Amino acid sequence: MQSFAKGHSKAAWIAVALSIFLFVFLVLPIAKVIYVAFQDPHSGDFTLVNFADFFGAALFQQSFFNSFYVACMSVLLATIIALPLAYYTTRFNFKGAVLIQTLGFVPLIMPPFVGAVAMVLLLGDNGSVNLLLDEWFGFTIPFMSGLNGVILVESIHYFPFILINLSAALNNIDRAMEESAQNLGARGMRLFRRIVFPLAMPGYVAGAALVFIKVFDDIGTPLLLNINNMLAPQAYLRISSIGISDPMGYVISVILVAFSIFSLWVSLQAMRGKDYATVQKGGGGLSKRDMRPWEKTSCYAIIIIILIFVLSPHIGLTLLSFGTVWSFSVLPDGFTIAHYVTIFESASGYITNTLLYAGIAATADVVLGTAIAYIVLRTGIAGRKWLDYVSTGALAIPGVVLGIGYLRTFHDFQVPIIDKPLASWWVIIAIALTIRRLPYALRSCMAALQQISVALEEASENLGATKATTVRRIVVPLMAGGILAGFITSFATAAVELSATIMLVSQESDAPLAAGIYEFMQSSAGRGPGAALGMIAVLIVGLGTYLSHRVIERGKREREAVAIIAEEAKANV
Amino acid sequence: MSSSHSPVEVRIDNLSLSFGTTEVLKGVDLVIEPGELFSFLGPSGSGKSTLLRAIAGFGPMPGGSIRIDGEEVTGLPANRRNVGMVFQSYALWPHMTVRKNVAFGLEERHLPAAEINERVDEALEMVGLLDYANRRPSQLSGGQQQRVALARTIVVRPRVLLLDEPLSNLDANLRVQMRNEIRTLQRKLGLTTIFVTHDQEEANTMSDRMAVLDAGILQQVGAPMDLYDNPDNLFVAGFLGTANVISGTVDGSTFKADGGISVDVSNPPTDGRALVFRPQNVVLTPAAEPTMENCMRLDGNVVHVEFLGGTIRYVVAVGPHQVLVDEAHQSGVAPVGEGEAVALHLNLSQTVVLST
Repeated sequence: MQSFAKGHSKAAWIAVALSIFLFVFLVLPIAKVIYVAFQDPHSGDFTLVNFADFFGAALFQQSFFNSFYVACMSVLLATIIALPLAYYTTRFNFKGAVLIQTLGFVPLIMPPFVGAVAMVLLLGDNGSVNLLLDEWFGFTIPFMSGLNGVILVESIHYFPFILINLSAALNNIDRAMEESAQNLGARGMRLFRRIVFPLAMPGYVAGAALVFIKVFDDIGTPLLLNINNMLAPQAYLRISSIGISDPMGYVISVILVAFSIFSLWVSLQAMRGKDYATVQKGGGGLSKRDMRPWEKTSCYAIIIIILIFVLSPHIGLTLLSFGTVWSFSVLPDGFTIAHYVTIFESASGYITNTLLYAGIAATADVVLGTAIAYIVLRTGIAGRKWLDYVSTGALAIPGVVLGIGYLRTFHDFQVPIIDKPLASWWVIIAIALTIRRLPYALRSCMAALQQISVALEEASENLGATKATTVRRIVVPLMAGGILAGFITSFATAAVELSATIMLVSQESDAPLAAGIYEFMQSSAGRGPGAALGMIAVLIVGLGTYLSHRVIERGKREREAVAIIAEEAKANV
Repeated sequence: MSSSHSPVEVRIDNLSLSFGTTEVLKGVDLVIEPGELFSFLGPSGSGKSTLLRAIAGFGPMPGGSIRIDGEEVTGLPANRRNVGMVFQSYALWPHMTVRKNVAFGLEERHLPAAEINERVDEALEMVGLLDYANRRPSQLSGGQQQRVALARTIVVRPRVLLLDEPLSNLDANLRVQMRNEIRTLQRKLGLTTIFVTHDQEEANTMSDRMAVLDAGILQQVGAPMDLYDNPDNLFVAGFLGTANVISGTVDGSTFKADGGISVDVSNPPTDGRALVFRPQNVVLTPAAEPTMENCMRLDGNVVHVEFLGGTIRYVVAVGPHQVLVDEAHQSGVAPVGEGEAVALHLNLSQTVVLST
């Protein structure tokens, strides 16, 4: 329901400004990438020859296959990890549920590439575990050799997406669904196959599609494990070694975007029209039962095995950051804080750059997010939904593709005064991070605004406040929780973003934390300081995640009192 | 607190309003007199809330005109109308204390701090919540929130007070209490007040006059008792209380009910098609009793008896018609039994013949 069109003229100008920003920094660069991919590098005519070259080259065929294989296997392994955990928490009265919730959260606070090198030292062919296995039993397990390493690192990092979605789906199945099936004679596997499985499927597919695309687009993990024959690393290597005129980087970008869009589409299809939130009043989840002793034992055994794997990057990184020399040995030779001293003395620029970029990006994201949410939900401006669609569309753009797009679009745009191409000015990194994190901040702001009853704003206008005053005194304060949560999430994830940044860092002094970690980890001498930087990254993300969780929980409690009144209002009408 | 201006008139001319292609209000004409307590009554979807919101300046731009105190306000933004609205959900701002909520409108008018404080205290005193000034809305009961919402609205001395279903969120006891409080407050302030309700009892007890709406069309305007006794159409007759509706046709000054009964009525509309009367206006006697003075008589059989507490409702078959009769229940007196032949006596001055 729209208010009188008057009073929205300011909002219309803001909408125009937002559209221009999104067009210049999201639509245009991506369009440019796609355009170049279909352009003959010499004549400039439309052509498919670049794609023909791509699919004709053995290296790219292999890269394509490897990326696809790694993404599929990561989904499979992540499913194997997530399935028992989701099953235990939703089917049994189980004290370890808290442990599983922690398990589902710990991996997310460490970007996968940060732990990759540490995982090699722990689980690699000459890593701690295999050295012990070889010494005790005379065999080794190739956890980390070749593509296995990428698959293991990615699935350990991303399985929580499946766990969270699957648990939510299972928890949303009402007990009565299961009981009525039992009442009609279904039991055991048949009950699971015909009732529980179909009801939980959409949640699982949504989670799995997300994991697939995250892995498919990831650039840091394969690069750090020295696996170059995958798509995303190839895109980076082509552009950074051959130059921005090489068409292969663009062809790969188009393929990455196509797969992203396809995965998001699959995920949306899975959820569409299948909102199986069947829980009725007084219901709540499938019936739970107590475990028998042997079940409990095997359950804890499985959780502990998963826990060890999940914690291995953290353990490895901690050891690495405090270790002196660690090579061909189970543990580092000695322990020291020298690496931390090194990074604070010589590499603090990475940290200040990160705080600057992530700070700018997170601030911009919540400002943009609030403005877009308000325009979409509260005004009648024509085409306003497109602001939402385009901002959210950034989800489908891998960081490396955005980076390539920026390089290509802005390399010949000289910024006045500083006299430098925009593509190599540090501000472009902050803008890239802003665009990358905007979808998340926008969701947070939208959710916050949707919680606010329009009557609260109408009451303000009724008492004489203008729309602008209403936004300032009523809307923004009430959205504060959501805005803060959005800020923290954007900040914490932007702080460790590598894929777009790695393309856009033009000089060492502009590099943020993630790029710094990447630089250090390249050489064996730099691993210690790299790990120390990694620990700082983990600290930032961990703290950020914790804070945003706290903010959201507090907001929920505060809203409940108001929500109850609103509920009663509805019930009484 | 006295209103700073004398009560004003609200005049609505040919007001129409649509949500997209759905017409919600269709040519409403209405004058609300200065200082009266007026209600919009109708079922959900009748357009009553939309009409109220249009007066406040919310919702789509309407066609026609709304004038407050002679000033054309259609098209004027909500924040420049100075009409006070109390929202159904109260719409108290949860991030502000009671005092801050009430002070908001005065702050927007840039009054000096001392005056704001004084007027907020006065308004809170008036609704009996001065001691709660520093609480948050979530720490108040529903009735207290309602009062804060009232205080927040009247503190700015609006020209007109609008109340959207003001009692719907309160439990039954509180509802009766708030009904009287709002009435008393309105009298004291002498403020032209319009409130929306779907509850006839609420409209009857509170309003000086009321407008009945259905499907976006104004059905009838008048004092509650007047509308109850002399409805203009079948919708108003039925919406304000239980009514017997005997279908038939008009021939001269005779109403010919379907099934052969004829009744002489004075000045019926020529296109009249129903004889309407209230169940409690019918007197039921044993069939042997003579016709009562000034009454017409209908003979029938009791087909059903319902004990409703204070009253007993008989369903009496009169030819093809079923007539409802309400009789006060006298303790210890057994009602007439089902199947018995009875006579119904009906005073013609208590009937109306309606054509729509």
